[in-house]
Amino acid sequence: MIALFLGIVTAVEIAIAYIPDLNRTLLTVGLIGLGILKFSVVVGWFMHLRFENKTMNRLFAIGLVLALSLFFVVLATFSGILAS
Amino acid sequence: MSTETAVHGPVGTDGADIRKTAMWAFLGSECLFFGSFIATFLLYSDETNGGPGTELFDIPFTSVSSFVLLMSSLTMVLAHNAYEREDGRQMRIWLMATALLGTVFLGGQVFEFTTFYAEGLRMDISPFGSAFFVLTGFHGAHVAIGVIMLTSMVIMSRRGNLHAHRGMNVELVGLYWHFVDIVWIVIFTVVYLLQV
Repeated sequence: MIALFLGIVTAVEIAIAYIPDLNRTLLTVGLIGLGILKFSVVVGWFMHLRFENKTMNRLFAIGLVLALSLFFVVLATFSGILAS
Repeated sequence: MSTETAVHGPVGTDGADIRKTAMWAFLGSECLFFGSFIATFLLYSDETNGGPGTELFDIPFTSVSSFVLLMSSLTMVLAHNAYEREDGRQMRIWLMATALLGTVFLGGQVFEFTTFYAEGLRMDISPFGSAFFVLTGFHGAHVAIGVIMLTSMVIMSRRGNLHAHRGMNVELVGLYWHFVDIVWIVIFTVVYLLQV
């Protein structure tokens, strides 16, 4: 059932990407939202993280938070947002 | 400080298998590894130096590759279920299916790289080319390592050397494989779909 759900979400993602004249912001938010949904389902159910202890959850969460922080700092620094 | 039990591997003070805890720490660090490459790709996605760029992307083809990798996560779950039921034959079948789907994905990536190269996109032609090939190439290398681990599991199981309490077991390889899948979920969305 979870695999079927993931397959359907992937199909919806591809369909959204091909909608003509779709607002760029809406497209970005929609695709990132669906990506986060798929990510969460695989980590939570396929990888069983939601059933694991706090240590494992924290270790992965630390990596994820650091990665997202690095991601936004790199983009902000080199795209000139921080310089302006 | 850890102790050894008959059923699991060494257990930490929190009662969990420390190999699994270590695997989650490793996967957390891998988030940083791929996060930095994805950020770099986004920075350079427009810097093609007049060469080919995102117009080369074949979304229908990459969608099929993504679906293949997604389904390999399902076969990995089935392999793990068979492992927990101690059904060695079923486990080997699903592990081989997972390795096969991973190999199909890698074949698709080789085809994509070859096509892009023929169209003039190379690592040294532009920042876009470098960022694209480094990001997707490193992901492909992770898939290849996963395929090797899966095949090793099958061989070890056939020889009767696959024990839950020793070394890497099916659950740990499964965690690694699912992680490779979620990295592709992000790459497919950010690198391919958002650039259409």
